[in-house]
Amino acid sequence: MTPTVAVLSLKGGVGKSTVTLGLAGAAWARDLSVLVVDCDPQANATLSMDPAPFTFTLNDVLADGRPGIARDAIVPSGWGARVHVLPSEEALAHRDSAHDVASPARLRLSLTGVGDDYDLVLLDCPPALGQLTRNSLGAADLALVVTEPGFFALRGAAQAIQAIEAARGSINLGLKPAGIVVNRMRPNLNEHQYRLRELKAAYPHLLLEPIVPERSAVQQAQGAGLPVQAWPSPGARDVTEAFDDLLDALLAHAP
Amino acid sequence: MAKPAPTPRPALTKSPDAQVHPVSGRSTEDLHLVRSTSFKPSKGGATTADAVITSAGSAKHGKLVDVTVRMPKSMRKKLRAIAKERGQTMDDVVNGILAGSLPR
Repeated sequence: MTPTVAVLSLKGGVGKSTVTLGLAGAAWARDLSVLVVDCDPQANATLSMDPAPFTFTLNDVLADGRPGIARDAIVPSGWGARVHVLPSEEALAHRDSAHDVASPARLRLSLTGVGDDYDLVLLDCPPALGQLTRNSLGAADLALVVTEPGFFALRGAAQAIQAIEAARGSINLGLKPAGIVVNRMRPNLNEHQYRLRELKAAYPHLLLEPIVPERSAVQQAQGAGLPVQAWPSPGARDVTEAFDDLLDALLAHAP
Repeated sequence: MAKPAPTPRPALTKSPDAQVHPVSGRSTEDLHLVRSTSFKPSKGGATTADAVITSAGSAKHGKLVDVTVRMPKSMRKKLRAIAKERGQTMDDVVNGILAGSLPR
């Protein structure tokens, strides 16, 4: 069964899209087929995957809501034939209001049968517990929490863990936490080391290794519309190795 | 008896609010950004492993360190002019001069 993974945090700017793209890139490097569903109206993952010109987005898919309709909006990314994207756009924010996407199962319904075409499906969530994140948790088998080693981010991670637990008890009984990814680590900062220890103490069984280091290659690759795995710099190699190991950890959790 | 052909599923259509900004309610406009086009090795700090050291002396002489040196403005001006002419950084020029004049 193809794992569908929601990548979330309830704090913005911690690198949800970066982790989504890093994992998609790790899958790309292994020649796995992967679908990235961009559930964030900021559409950063869409931009970075450099898809061919497209007409439809997740906004249209959720507004329609029919089983399997997501297939009509999926386009190949600029990364290669085996990496596809269900694009986002700013107007997707319309779907985040409670009255608009009434059911948290709407995304799951629209993705019916779509996962069979891929080895991995990644859902890049927005940084809030609105209908888009609830729909992502409703559609996923695994929930991956992203944080950076900072006070606010750790609080956002804790809230995300609570949201996963709440979703498991209501909208998606099959949902499992895949773990917590620490992103943008700068080991030379005492504050980062302190927060990492704090995180290990609080979630000893959820913290995933390795920690993703802060590297400017990540932004450079995103700006170029390339997977970081294709970016030729020493920093990119560090990040590539981390995402490759994280993909292994993620697939080990797959149903 | 032949079964009737199934009616094709109606295709996905654009949501009516697709061109409406979620906050302002006005039409949306795209911002066109320029892609990063090439890898430019940088001489960044130790906090990023993207620092690819390319200056003349670095590979030979090990890790780069910061040294503050006071000099006449006119000399700095000359160094800048040389760097510009050669397409190098000030660090490259100064390192090159020092490497040529210091004993090995």
